[in-house]
Amino acid sequence: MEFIQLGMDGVFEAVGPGGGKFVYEFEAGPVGVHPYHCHVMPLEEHIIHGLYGVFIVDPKEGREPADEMVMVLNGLDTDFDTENNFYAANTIPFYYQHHPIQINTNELIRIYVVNMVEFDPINNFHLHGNLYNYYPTGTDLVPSFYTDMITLSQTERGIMEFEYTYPGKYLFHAHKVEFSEKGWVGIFLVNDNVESDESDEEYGR
Amino acid sequence: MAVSDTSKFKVVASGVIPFAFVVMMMLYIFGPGGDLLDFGVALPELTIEKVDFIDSEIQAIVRNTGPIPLQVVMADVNDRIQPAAVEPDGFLERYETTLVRIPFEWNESEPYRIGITIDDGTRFEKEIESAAPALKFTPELAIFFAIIGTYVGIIPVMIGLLWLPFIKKISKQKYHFFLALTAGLLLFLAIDSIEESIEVSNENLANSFNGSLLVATVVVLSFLTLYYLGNKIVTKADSLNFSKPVAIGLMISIGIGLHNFGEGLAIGAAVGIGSIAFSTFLIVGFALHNTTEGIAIAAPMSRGKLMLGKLAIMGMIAGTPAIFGAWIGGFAYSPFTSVIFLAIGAGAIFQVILVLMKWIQKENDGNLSTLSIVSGFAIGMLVMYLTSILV
Repeated sequence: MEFIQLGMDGVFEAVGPGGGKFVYEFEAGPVGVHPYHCHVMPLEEHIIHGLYGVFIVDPKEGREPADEMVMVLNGLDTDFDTENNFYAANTIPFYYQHHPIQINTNELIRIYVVNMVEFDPINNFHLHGNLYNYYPTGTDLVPSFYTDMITLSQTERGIMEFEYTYPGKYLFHAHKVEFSEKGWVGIFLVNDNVESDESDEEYGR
Repeated sequence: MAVSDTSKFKVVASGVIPFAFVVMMMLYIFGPGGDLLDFGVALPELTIEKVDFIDSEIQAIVRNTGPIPLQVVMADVNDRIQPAAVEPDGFLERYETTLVRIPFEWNESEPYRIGITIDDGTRFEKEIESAAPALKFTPELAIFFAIIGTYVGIIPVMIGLLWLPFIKKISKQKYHFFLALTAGLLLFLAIDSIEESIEVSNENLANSFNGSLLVATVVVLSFLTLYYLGNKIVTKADSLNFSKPVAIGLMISIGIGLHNFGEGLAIGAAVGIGSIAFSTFLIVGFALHNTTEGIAIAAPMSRGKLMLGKLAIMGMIAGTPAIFGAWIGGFAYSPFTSVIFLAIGAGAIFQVILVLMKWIQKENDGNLSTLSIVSGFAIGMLVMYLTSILV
């Protein structure tokens, strides 16, 4: 857990061979999107093998209704050479390239994006055919950028909001091309909003 | 009779019983007793044995060279993941091979690193210094290789044979010098073959082949086989209407022929991987180098009658294998066969050296330490070393 709260002081905990159990209690806040990970050494090795997660703290008044999704950006070292072999959005390399995410035209899309890549100092998120409003860490309700490209350092995160006007296929990927060629690449399949979604439900199953 | 039958049975039984126990132990270890020995972690190993560049595609032949089965799951080019097909499939038992086909627009003479990742996430890589299209068999190319083989094998050996009249006219001392020179030349060639075969095996064969020991074993087997056959030829030389010089000359030309086959493989493979300039250089070097091989045949032959026909045949036996080697090296290169043939060549040459030294010793009344012999041997090695720098 990233926050210093009652019951959890953020110091690395010793866990014996028998395993251990910790209860973390805290008040939800600040508003935004936040990662969590274990505090057991060797921490780096746990992160590069995917031991982490995300939670979202919504503002009390809520956010505008949207088609919401979480994208955790991963770097995975499968051969223990302290270099990432695979990169991905939500763990499986190339998954959204082969299984495009279906969204609708003229509907607000909200992505909670969290960069958990280790070893490589930066990651980024590039969207095709569109620009998005970006709220760093999601703590502010006013967007800081209107762009098609954000750069994220370790555990840097935020909220992206955008709408597509025209149907079609739109790529999203790291523009650190090495990452996209190792799995961090996907497609939005934008359907026309006037039609019912039923005809499209077969896709990707 | 009954007594001798029983004793025969005893002999057979005493030979078979220990062997039966070995078989039983093996069956037990591989069967029910295996769990007792299941200790330690077996790591998978994959070897990319061959990479071919064809139209818009890179093909890799990979072999499971580790102790456990594995699965090929992904291919990459220059550490960037590529879509690829595995034919017939990626599940590989020990020593099983499969073909990985990667659609890729490669460029000629660019370096590429081909990577294969297996099911546990381990990646194995092979580096190609310079991409070149895989050679396809065409009559033109076959003729081209035949011409190269002729330049490298036949012509230099024949030129070397032209020294025969000169060797014929010189004194006994000088003749011994040339025989020893021949032995020196051959020793160099044998060491050269062994070095080359170990190099090919280190670069291309998996550790599980025990490359150096494979070479050592093949060298010794080849030596023993030819030693046995060679002695048969020499002892039968009279009845076969061969003189001893002819028999020795024939053995030398067979040994050199095997060696030249290995050289042909090297040249064909060099053309195959696209280092054409290197090949031209290689060819000039080999040609100069191989002229000395003609002397090696000419030296013993100079003591019989002048037999032009037999001499020409020996030249062909020594030289033409370079053509076959170039064909195989260029069209169907396999590192494993290269290692084997180079090692066979080395063993053959060691056998020839032994026969030559025995002959010199006999000619020289049992003495091998005369100045002409020692200096001949030394100069033979030196000449070969100096001409080898050209290769």
